Amino acid sequence: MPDRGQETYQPGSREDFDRLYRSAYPRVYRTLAAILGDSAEAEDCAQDAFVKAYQAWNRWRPDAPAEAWIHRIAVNRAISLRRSARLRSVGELLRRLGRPRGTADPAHVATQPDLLTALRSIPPKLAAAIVLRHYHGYNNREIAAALGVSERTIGTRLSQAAARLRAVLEESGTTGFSLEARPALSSEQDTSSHVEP
Amino acid sequence: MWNRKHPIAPGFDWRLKVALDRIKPPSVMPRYAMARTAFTPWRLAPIALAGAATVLLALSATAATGSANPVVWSQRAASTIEAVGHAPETSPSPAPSPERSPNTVRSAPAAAPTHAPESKAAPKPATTDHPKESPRQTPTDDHSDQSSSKPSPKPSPTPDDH
Repeated sequence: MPDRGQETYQPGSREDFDRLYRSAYPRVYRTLAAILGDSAEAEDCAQDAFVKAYQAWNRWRPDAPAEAWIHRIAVNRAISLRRSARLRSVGELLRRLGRPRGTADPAHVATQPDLLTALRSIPPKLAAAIVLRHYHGYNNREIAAALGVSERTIGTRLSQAAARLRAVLEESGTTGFSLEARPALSSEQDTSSHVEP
Repeated sequence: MWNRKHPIAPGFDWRLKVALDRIKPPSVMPRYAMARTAFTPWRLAPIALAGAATVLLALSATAATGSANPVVWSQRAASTIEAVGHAPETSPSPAPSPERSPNTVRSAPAAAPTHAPESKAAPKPATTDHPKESPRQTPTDDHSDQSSSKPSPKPSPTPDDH
């Protein structure tokens, strides 16, 4: 399991917040990059999240892990960003009606890994659950605490995300990997949470 | 097909790790640190400035009026503004003596703004006329008070004495 910054922090302490930033920023940034699929947006969103967290640092309670708390702020911000981006894209689609369909930028397609493109195509809440589980190694309880929902909801989201991702990856023909796969679930809740439909 | 061991695809975790580890977060100055240094002084500055200006105004008003009552300050301010508004009307009053400079004429009503209608009579007494009268008064005063008059050697040789 990767290091999740399980250090002790003093609420309101500037030095502790600096320490939290140094340890959590790269991980939060990668989570947001996976959800948003754009490095500039991910950076902007991560910085915003840390500004908000710093403003509320006096009110943070050490009973929840600090990095999970930052993740919660960042994922909520990413969800609202994705929502507004979707509204913008609907507006653009309406403007382009009747025109010939544009093709994707070849350079962008070449540099964008397939898996991140697939993550970008599913709802941000599902993508966040997948990244927290399969990249950061959180268990369901920790994801639930980070995102502010119940463990049952997390189980549902994970199974929905898995189904949608599998469909997307099968479509693009990138599901087969040559390396031996590790068990996807690392906690004791290995099977129970994923049995849900 | 649902697979408990590989819920998404074989090698999914590894591939996700490779894809995300490839992303290097840019090393930029944390925005919260910039906000920390920039916010606090600039937020407090207008409040401090307004407070200092209010205290200064209250002190100067108290010193000028001699009263700590804001009602008195406002009355004094109103009368001063009124006097300044009337000042151009009183200034063209003729100077009583040609020796007086225009500056002294204009400054006289401003010094006593509440007595603006009397400002025409105000320049007449005392100060500038006094030097003209003093040569005439000194001989008359010689009879009454010898000690105060300086030209004492002149009257001493009287015909009666001889």
